[in-house]
Amino acid sequence: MRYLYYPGCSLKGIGRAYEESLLAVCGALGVELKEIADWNCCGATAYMGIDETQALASR
Amino acid sequence: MDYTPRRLIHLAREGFKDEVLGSFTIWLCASCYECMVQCPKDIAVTEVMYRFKQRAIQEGRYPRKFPIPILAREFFRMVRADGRTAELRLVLRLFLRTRWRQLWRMRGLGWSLARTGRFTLKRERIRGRGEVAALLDAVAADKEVTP
Repeated sequence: MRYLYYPGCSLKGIGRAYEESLLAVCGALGVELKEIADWNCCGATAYMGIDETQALASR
Repeated sequence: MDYTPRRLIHLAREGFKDEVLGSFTIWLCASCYECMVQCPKDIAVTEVMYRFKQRAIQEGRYPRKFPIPILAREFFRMVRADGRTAELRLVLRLFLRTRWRQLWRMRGLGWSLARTGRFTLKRERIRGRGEVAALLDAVAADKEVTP
């Protein structure tokens, strides 16, 4: 099985441990995960609190 | 929180503009939408908060050195320039523009993050950043609001 996944900035920063364990578990289960190419900001957290439309636009 | 949301809405209705735009309350709203879900009168409290925040940014009236509006601004700038944010760079920028002295006090945390490989200063830039910027600009032009 091959799946694409969207990590987001948190999985590349403070949540790095989650990405590592996710990839390890999926690898052990025979699920192949591939990061979506050139993914952009999901618009959550900081921006969401000011302007919903703009947060959604960056999605 | 200096005014409760109920008071804030009353202040706005009575025209206390300085009090509303300069209040801390609007910046403490985390947009969880719980109030809107619960409101028996279907008042769009979160939307009202968005509007207050946008207006405060527009008029540059948010409390000085208060981190939340500055975080929003730096977040927006980084996404517009790079297409996504790099957490650590964002946090560092926030601290340098607000309470840089606190960085020294947080050195222990920095060291722990570095030790576990989570402290990276790498700039995250996507190829399609131009498209993201174009989208954001289109929304900003429509609303005439940019932090």
